[in-house]
Amino acid sequence: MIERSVFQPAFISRRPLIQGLGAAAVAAGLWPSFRVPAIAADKVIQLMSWEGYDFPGPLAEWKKANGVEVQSTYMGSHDDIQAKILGGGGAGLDLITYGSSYKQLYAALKILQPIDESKIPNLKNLLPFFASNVQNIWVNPDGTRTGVPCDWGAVGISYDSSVIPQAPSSYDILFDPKYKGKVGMPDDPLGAYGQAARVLGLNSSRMSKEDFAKITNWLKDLAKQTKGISASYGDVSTRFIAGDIALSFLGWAAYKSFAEKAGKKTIETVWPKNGGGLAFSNAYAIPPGADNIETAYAFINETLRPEIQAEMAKALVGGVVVSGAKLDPSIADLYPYDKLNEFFELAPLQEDPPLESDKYVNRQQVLAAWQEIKSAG
Amino acid sequence: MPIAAALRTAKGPFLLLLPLFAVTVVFVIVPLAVFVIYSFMTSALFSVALPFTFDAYEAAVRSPLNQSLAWNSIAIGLMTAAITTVIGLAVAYWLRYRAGRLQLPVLFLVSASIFASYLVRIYAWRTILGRNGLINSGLVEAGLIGEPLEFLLYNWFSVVVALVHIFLPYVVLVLFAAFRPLTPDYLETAQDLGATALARWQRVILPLMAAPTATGFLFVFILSASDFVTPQLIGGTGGQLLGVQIQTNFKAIGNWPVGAATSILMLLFFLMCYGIMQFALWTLKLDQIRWN
Repeated sequence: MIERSVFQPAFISRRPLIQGLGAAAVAAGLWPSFRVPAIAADKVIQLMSWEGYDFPGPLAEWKKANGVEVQSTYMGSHDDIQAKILGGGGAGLDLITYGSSYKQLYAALKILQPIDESKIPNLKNLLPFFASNVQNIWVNPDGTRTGVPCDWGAVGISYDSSVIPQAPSSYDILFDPKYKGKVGMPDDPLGAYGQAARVLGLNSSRMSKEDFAKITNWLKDLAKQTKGISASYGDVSTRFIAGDIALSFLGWAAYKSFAEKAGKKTIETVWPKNGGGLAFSNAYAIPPGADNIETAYAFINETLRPEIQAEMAKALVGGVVVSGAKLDPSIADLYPYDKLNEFFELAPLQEDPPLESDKYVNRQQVLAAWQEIKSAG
Repeated sequence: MPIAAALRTAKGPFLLLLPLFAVTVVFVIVPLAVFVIYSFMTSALFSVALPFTFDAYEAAVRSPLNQSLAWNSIAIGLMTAAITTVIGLAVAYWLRYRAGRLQLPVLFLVSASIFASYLVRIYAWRTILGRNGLINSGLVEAGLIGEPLEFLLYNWFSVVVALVHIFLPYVVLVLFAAFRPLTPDYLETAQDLGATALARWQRVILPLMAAPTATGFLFVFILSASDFVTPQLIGGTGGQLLGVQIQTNFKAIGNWPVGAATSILMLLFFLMCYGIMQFALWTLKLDQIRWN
């Protein structure tokens, strides 16, 4: 019995199909190609960062006026940057961003090229805090600039006020049996150790073996309160919106805005007096494979204009790093700009464990322990 | 045409295989060799250094976390493979002998589901299984449960559900293809000779389908046991797998030798599974059809 193949219906034999494909190819070749005016090769910059840090909206006019094209690669995790550059894929990459807690690592891996400050006149716009040299995040002790701040934000405790009407006043609430299974926690090991250390009155950049064990146990207990560590901050936001969680450790102030966009107006973030929170800041930097450095400088300079900063902050639901930006009310409400210095004492920029140390627990040990915490259900 | 002439000589077939051979060497053999070399080197931050050592293997094997994640991987892999194979056999059988005019549309739907992004499918399961998801809100609305069921998401159960969904279409297609030469005549003949439905499965279908079914089973087992995306998105704390450790060692921790050693150990384990399967099929004389 001969059966007709279902994959080869009788009406398609190979020859007409091949002829058809040939005709299609010819047609495609004849099709008039409408092309946008060519952009000079030295005006094309390649950027690798989080989605949105190329600011297609705020920078549209500037790009058009200067004939600049930004080709972006978005990363799913910060570790994609070193994976790409160390894996040999960094040729032609002109611009990256690095989070404040990645400075130490990227400096050691030689991912950050020195930045010529004279090419970025808008550096004068920086707020005093970001013009300073906090923890050598943007400027090395020898005065070499490695990064230009672009935004900032802070994490504390985020909570759903429809479930928890009163703002949490301490980190103890995360361990309340009432909220077992309803606590969120993002996959941010260094942030988790940094914040847990602050709650316990320790410092994650100088942990002894005993401190380390204490913090690890605290985080393991916290992991038991969750239904699993979220793969990203975005994932915590999704769980808030879905009602899967009622509060979150390392709660990001921007959740409020993300949830509002999804119709949920009850997500708030607080920085309790006891334990506070942590701040983070992303900075533009020039990686070793850059070949259009001048255009990259021009791009960075443009991002420091107050008007652009205001639009960027709105797009990212973040904080601005320059003075004189007229902020959208929803953005101005996120963080207390009138007393920033006090705020940065309550929620300082995160300090991280050393890459190598004889005395203190190092980054690698922390990351390895985090894997155990993630599986501590 | 010298090329055409060359292809017609005795060496012709080998010349035709040359591109395939080159691709295999460049994209499989060389990277694998690099992994093997890395796995015997000493770790430096996000790189490797000399001297050669067994340290990475020792660290990979001794780690209690790796051990528990390895058991998780095997358990979840076996569960996923078993469920997928059973459903796949049933669907492929139905498609081959019972679907009639529905065969083409259903085959199309099965193939079409492969085109949906892997991530989209995982996220779809989150909206179905979540606390306020489709199942829970449906059951609560219907008054069948008072509180949402908590066991549906963020554990090994949801990982198995999502992986079965992801791999089922492949297995259905493989088994359907395997069923094709087995024309209905065989089953009709068996029936005419007095075989019951059970006997037809036992003595006709299963022996002929053993090799492709085992292949499908192994395919799903290997891919699900080594998955590292699904567990991170819906695995919770209890549904994590060993693949996540490899990714973390390479990307976050920067200990390449341990990541490479873990990969090589998994590869060896899977090769062993393949060997066991082949040996079992051969011993049972099911590795090929013998017409005697």
